[in-house]
Amino acid sequence: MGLVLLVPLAVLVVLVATVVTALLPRGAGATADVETSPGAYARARRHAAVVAGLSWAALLLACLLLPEAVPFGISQGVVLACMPATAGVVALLVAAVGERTWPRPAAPVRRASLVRRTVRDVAPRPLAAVLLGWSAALPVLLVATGLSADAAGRTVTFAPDAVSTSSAGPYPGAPYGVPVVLATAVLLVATGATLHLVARRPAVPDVSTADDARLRRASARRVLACAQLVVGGTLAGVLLVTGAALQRASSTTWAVDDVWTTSTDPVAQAFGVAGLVAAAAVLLTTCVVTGVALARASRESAPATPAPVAA
Amino acid sequence: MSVHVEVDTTSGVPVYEQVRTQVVAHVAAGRLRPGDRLPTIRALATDLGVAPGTVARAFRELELAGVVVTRRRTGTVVADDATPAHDTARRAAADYVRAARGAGLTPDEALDLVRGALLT
Repeated sequence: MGLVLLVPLAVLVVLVATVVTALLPRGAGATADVETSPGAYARARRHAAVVAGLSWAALLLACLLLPEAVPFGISQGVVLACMPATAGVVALLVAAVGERTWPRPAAPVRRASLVRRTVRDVAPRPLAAVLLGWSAALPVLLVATGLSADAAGRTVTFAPDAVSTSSAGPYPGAPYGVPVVLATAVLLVATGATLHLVARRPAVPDVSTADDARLRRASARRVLACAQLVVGGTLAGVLLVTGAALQRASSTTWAVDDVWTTSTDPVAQAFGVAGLVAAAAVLLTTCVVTGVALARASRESAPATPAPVAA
Repeated sequence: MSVHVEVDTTSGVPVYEQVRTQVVAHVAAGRLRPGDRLPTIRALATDLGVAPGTVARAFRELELAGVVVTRRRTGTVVADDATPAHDTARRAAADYVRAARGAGLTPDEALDLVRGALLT
């Protein structure tokens, strides 16, 4: 199931990243800086690319392997609902370890900027806003589904007419919602901690402050892209499950003397359709945002002048 | 223009003193203004690859000299009464540095000329 959902997701992200990379002007925002050693900058870019590659590989592997490790049972759905956030934390952990492995200054003469760097300086605001938007929408949705769920919190029930009721599940009530919100909160804390490490890592030796800042922004962009993909994916999943349950529970069919009657609760059905449409929209948006962010990170840190060929 | 400090770990001058004099020079030149926030001790030490205690000592001496103040919420900032050097002298210094660089003088040679001029 996880593989089926992930493959088109990964293909879409790669597709968007490739298209945006091709369309964006090369070296946009780059400033030629005589202080930067092209060799040192190329090595720093390679380091950042390896860290990002390992982090995204960890995300993909965790998404593929974790569902297989979940035993069948009543808690399977809860664990699967928390799986994206868990995979995201694993990916951020890898990114955080990578940020700790930047080479420290070793030359006798060392330079440092006297301008204070904060997370706000390195984190692109639009991407942070998208992450915060998904993160705000998710608990609001889960509170709504928690309030509308049955007492057990795993199904939703409607009475389309006076004589019949219809229940459907799984429905993200409190048994699903509380762990998902907690897992997402842990992911957000991990995101903040990783961004903090990006801002605080040692400045790259022989690279100008402007180019060092570009490398940091690219790293922060990749971290935020990962986090928003995970939270956006979780939100899309919750919307999908909610919409599907509402759609199924909105109609009931019953028979008296072989006369079949179908009753539909139009409000529940409308919410169901809206949930499914919103799920598709959120999934598409989060994938496009991820692709654009990864492409921008790659372009942002591209050298203004070609790096020398290694001897 | 970004403001930097550059330290030479092989120099006979202690690193904390190099940091201190350069911060004072930036304030005198008006590149660091009252209220400007300096990096945290840990961040500057990480960037320079030196022990945090080294930067802490530089900041402590700057604070004793009234160049910076440390506040609980904002960290270390340039003090309100740390004013740049006289405007005319500052412009003359900048003009002199440009001329010295144009003439191909090294920083030490340029400073020797200033010291010589101060002796007259």
